[in-house]
Amino acid sequence: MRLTDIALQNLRRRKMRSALLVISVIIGVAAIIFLYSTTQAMKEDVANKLDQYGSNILILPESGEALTFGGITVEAPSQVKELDMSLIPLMQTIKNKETLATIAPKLLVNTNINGQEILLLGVDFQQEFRLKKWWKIDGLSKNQLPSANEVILGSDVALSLNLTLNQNVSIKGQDFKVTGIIQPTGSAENDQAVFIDLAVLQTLANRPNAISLIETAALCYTCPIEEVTQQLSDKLPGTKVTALKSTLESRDTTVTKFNLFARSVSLILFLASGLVITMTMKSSVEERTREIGILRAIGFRKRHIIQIVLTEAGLLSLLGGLLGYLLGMSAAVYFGSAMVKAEVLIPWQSDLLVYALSASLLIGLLGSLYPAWKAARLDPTESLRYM
Amino acid sequence: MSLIKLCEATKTYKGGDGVVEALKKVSLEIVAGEFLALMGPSGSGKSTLLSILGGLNPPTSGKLTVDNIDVYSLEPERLADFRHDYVGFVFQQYQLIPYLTALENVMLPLAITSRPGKEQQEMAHAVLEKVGLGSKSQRLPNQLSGGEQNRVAIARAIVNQPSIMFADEPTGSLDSKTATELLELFQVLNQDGLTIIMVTHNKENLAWVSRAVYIRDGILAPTPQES
Amino acid sequence: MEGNMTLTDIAIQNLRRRKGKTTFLLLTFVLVIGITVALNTLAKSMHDDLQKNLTQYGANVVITPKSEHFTLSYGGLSVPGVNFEVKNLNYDSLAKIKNSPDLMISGIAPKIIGSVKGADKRYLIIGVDFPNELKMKPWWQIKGLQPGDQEVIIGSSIASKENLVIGSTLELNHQIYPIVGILEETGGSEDNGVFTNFSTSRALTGINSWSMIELNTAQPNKTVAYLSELLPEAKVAEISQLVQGAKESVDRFSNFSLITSIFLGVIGVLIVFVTTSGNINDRVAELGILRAIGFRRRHIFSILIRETVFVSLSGGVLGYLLGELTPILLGPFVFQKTVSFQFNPFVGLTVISASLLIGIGSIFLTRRAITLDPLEALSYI
Ligand SMILES: Nc1ncnc2c1ncn2[C@@H]1O[C@H](COP(=O)(O)OP(=O)(O)O)[C@@H](O)[C@H]1O
Ligand SMILES: [Mg+2]
Repeated sequence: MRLTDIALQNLRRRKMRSALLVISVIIGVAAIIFLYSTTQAMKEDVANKLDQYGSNILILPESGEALTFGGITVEAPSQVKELDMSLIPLMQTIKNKETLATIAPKLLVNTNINGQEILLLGVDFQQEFRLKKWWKIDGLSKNQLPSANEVILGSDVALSLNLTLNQNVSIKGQDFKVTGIIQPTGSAENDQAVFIDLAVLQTLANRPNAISLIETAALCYTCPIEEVTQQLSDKLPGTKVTALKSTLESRDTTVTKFNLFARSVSLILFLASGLVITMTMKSSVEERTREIGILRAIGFRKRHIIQIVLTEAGLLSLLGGLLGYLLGMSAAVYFGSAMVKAEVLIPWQSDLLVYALSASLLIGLLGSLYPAWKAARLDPTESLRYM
Repeated sequence: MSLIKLCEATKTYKGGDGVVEALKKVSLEIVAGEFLALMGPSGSGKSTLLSILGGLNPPTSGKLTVDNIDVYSLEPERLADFRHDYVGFVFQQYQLIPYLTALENVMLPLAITSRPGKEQQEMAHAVLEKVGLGSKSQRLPNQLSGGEQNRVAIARAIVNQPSIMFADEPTGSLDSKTATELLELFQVLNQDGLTIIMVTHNKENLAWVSRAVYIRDGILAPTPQES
Repeated sequence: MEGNMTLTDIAIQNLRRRKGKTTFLLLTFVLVIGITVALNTLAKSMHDDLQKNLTQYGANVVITPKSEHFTLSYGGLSVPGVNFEVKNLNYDSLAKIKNSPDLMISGIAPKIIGSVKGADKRYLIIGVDFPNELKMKPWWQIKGLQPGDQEVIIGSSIASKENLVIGSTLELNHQIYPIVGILEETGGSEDNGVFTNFSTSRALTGINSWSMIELNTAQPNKTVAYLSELLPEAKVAEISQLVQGAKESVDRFSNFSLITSIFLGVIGVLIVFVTTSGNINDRVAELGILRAIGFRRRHIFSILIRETVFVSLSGGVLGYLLGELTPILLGPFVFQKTVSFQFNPFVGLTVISASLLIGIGSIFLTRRAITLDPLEALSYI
């Protein structure tokens, strides 16, 4: 028989006690692993959702911008350079192409409807709706896209031209059905435009393949926006690629708050679990003061006793750490995303196993070392009287 | 030349209701090979004296020499070694480790030696046979009777072949037949050269021992003092 | 009555004599309750913070002149070759807004927008009051100084295209204006603007009124309704991208903190269950003795209830206090903000009764220890 055997027998024969110890380690470790990976996913999910809320990168022709501010235009240039559709596949060639969540190209064409000069915006409706999540459109049900002979009107246009849903409107000699009216958004650019399918407008205006600008939503959780803008600039000739600071700042405010909260929660949980494991280990060693007294009376040295106690604590913590990791990680992988309604996959993170094992081992050993040493220091007669 | 020499040992305890003087300047010499009985009424200080002699309980003042070793001047780890090498102790309440089997309890003192596992097992088995428990070696303490637990405790005390065995009221909770068997066992061990010091308050046990000392209110006497 | 006293005594003695165990149990309760309360306080204060930050961010209501004509611009581009008729707001609109009662307006940024001939092209002139503007638009970063009279700040696009730096000059209307600052790139139409103070832009553009007024208010809905009536000649609109976006972010945060809190709560309950049942399990032998000397289950049960009620009640109260005080003490260090103490009787009562319930619940979980027959219990160690 070796000291390790003594430790093992204790664990084996006092199943209830060992189980409770392991359970408390499991709860602690699993909780931290689960919480950490789900909050991580939630943070990423929130960041992604914020990034997809409106555009954060604007791709314009190099020159020819109008003198306009806040919807008030004071001068228009006499001529504007055009972009063309070939830029879109080019955008997909940048290094961090996976960050480009929405690419919404637009063509600006003016027309006269009922004596009013009006801006026609040729858009890819699917991308446009993804970008402008705050649009509330009367007449269109969720996920419904207008077809080629349908248009959507900004609220001011509908009001001023006296157009209602399902009426027909003649644009550049072709009839279109009004299939949706956007509720007021407060932005003149949206409220005073007519939205029409991009390809249809290109044909109608006789400008095949032409686009005026591209609005883009990039996910910058993993790759900073400056980098994406730079990569796009490098790939797209004749364009000016800029990041919209106003959207980015508010996103950062929110994501920082999420981060701070998630970090405080993890820290709190870590401290709490550490404390609980420490206390459980401590009380389980203290309970054994009498036993330790017997061993001391037989002539065991302090280090023999500490060795037995640490072997047990180490085994329990490692087991608890491992099971806790498996439990927490699989709960996170299989239910985490669904539970927090995040659209982000939580991967198995094997590096967390290393942290889980070393942290639980360290805490378990530290938690039992002091009480073991204290009990081993007592005179045997004293420990034998211990209740 | 005596094996054990206790010189003017005093022991005071701080209890809930003040200070108790459990031993008052007790001196005692024991020669190797003796089978000594320590007699006295309950609370007279028998267990205290035994634990001091066994290196378990440092006296408040006084000196213990065993085999020319000044026991309580040893630093704590050397003291543990002393207990391991010289002493076997049988406690009043047996003090077996509840999660170890009879065999494993007996093997405990060997666990901290460098003996191979097989040899440990053989030694422990042999001792268990000697105390008559060969067939119950795989039982846990709570599956054994009081007398059987007592014999496991004795086996554990002698497995490491100490020179001295201390036993605190080993017959206290046994019927007279079992008690007799136990004393016969002690006698055999004593004849094999083991020095035995046994606490008892049963006069019938005196037939088995080579010498008896009496203690009353912490003071030692060679003969019983009637009150 | 006397019988009850005895059981209470047993419970109290057990708690008193086993100080280590009692402390451990008590600490578990204090910790779990304290953390729950602290997290709650923390979440609430961060939620309020975020809401304040986001709603004060940007202009969420814009007042522009009503126009017969539609804008023909989008994203800084415009269809070429059309002429624009520029209208202005009434000069007294600003005063009217400022005098409006309780609209919770936290920022008013009127602007003069016009164009002016430069040396070889026309420039967009934006007259603003910088202190007000910067408060509303934290993403505007100015290198250099804010413009005084007869001074200008230029947008980053102009600076890079025309190689202008701080200290260069800009010719506008045949007059030379020193450039005292550059507005760093924002990606918006500001990048092409020339910024001045009101008097300079009035002199440059000849506009004696306001081109538009941007507002930040905590109640965009109410403000729009009220100001639309107050200023019939103007168009008052809520910027739904900003308002909805802020609302959504704040909702997401509430959701996030709620889920994490619920989760932590569940963990807390588990921890309490494990420690309490561990504690009772350790005492199976002792409870066996009581059973052996004739205590009924009911007696043992009431001893345990007494102990648990005491521990969970005091743990609940201490935990509540700890949870309320920790954010106050740690707030300034950890979050760079002070959290004020709010005695919240509802939260207090809730957590204390929850603590009590969990404590009593865990006794029921360890029924086995109580219902074990005495002989079996005594063989337990
Ligand atoms: N750890 C202790 N603390 C306080 N008093 C003790 C302690 N151990 C023994 N005593 C007291 O010392 C006296 C002698 O006890 P003990 O040696 O156990 O007597 P015996 O074994 O003869 O019955 C008794 O009065 C007892 O109450
Ligand atoms: Mg005694």
